[in-house]
Amino acid sequence: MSTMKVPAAPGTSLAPPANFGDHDQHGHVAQFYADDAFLVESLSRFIGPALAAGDAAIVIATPAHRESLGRTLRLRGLDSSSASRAGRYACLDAAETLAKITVNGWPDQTLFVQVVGQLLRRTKAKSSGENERIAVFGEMVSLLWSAGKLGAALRLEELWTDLARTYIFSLRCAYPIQGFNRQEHSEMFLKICTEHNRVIPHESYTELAGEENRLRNITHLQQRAQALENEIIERKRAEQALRAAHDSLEKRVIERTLELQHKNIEIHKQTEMLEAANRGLRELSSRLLRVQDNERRRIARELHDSTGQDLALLSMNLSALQGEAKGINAEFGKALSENVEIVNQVSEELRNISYLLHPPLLDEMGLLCALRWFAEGFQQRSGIKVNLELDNNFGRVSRDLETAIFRVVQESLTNIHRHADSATTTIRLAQSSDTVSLQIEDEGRGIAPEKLSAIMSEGVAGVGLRGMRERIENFGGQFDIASGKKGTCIRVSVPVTHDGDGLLI
Amino acid sequence: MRVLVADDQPGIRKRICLTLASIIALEVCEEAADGQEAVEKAEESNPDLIILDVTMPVMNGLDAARKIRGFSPKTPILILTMHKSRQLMEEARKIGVRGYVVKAEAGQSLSSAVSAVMQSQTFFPTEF
Repeated sequence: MSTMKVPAAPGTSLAPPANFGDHDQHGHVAQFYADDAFLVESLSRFIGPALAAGDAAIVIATPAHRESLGRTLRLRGLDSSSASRAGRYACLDAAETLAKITVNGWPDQTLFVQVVGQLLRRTKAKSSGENERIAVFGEMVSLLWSAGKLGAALRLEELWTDLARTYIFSLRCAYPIQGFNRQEHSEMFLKICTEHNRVIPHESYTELAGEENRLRNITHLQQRAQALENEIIERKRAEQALRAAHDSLEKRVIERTLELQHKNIEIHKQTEMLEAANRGLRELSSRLLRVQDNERRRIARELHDSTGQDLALLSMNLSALQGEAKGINAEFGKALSENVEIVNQVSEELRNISYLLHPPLLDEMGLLCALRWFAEGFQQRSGIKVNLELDNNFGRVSRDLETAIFRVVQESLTNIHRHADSATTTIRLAQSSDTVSLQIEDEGRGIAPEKLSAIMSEGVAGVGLRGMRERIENFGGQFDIASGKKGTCIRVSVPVTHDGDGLLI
Repeated sequence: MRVLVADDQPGIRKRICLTLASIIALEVCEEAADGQEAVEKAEESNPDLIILDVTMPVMNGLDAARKIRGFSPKTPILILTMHKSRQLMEEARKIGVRGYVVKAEAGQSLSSAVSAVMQSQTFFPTEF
């Protein structure tokens, strides 16, 4: 603990108590301090003379302060123990005593009078001094203040003041000045000061020697107070401006957020409309392909099964007539032969047209048979060797899917013939429990990436590669094409599901 | 000799019956308009020769041939079809059909085909 110099009493109104030991004055004094050493020194000068004079003294303090006080008194040659044994000195723990006089954290008058009043009576009775004076130091109020219980602290001060109307004692309350470091403490601080007869400023003032110094100090403090006051005002203004800016910004953020939300909703709506339009376009394209396939199938059937049959019948009838005409009229027989020839030519042409419109036997015999027929014809027409790797266990799938796969193969081989410059092509068709997969590859010159991209994105809907992809995607399938210098490979996979009769899409 | 002719075109059936009458000793020429009817009549009347079209309503000629082979494996069956298809011919051969004639060529080759199958031979075109 540090020691300190106590200035000589100037004897003027500006000075703090000339001698801190003036406990003989009946009064209620508030002492503020910044450093514990100053408090203990001051306290020893208050309690020490009382004990030395044989008067009574009561200290209700924190353990640290009680210990420091005992040590200081001993250094000054004062034996507080003998005074204590004599019953005229009581040194109590502030927190323990506070607990005895409060109910639910609030000072109770009855308990206070009971505990503190009895203590005053008891110690005073043992006083051996001439004037039966008693010095009291208390820190219970300070404890309440430190705990933030400002109302309770003020109430306890009032109880001390009331008690002073019944008992004569000199009371000193100590407050660390750090406990009043906020603007809002100002009102309570004044109330505490009012509650006391006198106030002892903390050591930065009390230690000053001489009136001039103190006046200068007061002036300096006034200047600092004014500066702080102004700073507070400016800070409040700045805070207000900041709050206004913040509010304005918040408002703008809200407005902008709303604006963005509106725009987002608008974009969302437009996206949905666009998606709906795309869906509509895809459905239309799919329907067009189906209608086209059905119409081709119908015309092919009509040509092949009806007109073709009539021509076949005509041919048979002419052949029968030919037999009968033999040996009757040579010219008539010759004419009949020519007619038979013509009918057969027409039949052949009709069949070719029909087969181009719709593969023969696709409906009756399925995809494998139709693909073998087409591959054979393609090989003959183009001179390109076709390797068929077909799964012989490939069962029937829906008529529409069989048609779609056949069209993909047909279109791919046509492309290979026209553009790929490949001597061979391989077609693989396989079926698993849930997928039909098709692969068509050639060993030709391939398609340049930019050209392939343009074909897939800009090509006419329903035609060429894009048409193939649309056909497959209509079945929820996947259509991929990879092309490089060693050729092109188209991979198709379509999910299928079983029912009791076979595979269905 | 009793023959069953199945074709959905009445004119074709009539023409075939007439043609057969001119080349074989035809006793009866029974007609069926679809594959199912052909199967039923084949079972009822047990003909000496059955001529089947392929594309017919209700049941096609290949399926009818399969069923007929089931209960009458020795009766010769001749396919008479519009389809000029090797694949179809091979499929028919697998079932046990004895001959295959394309309708457009029937005027020239039906007689030969009928004669061949009636003599326990086969008749399948070599070129398509």
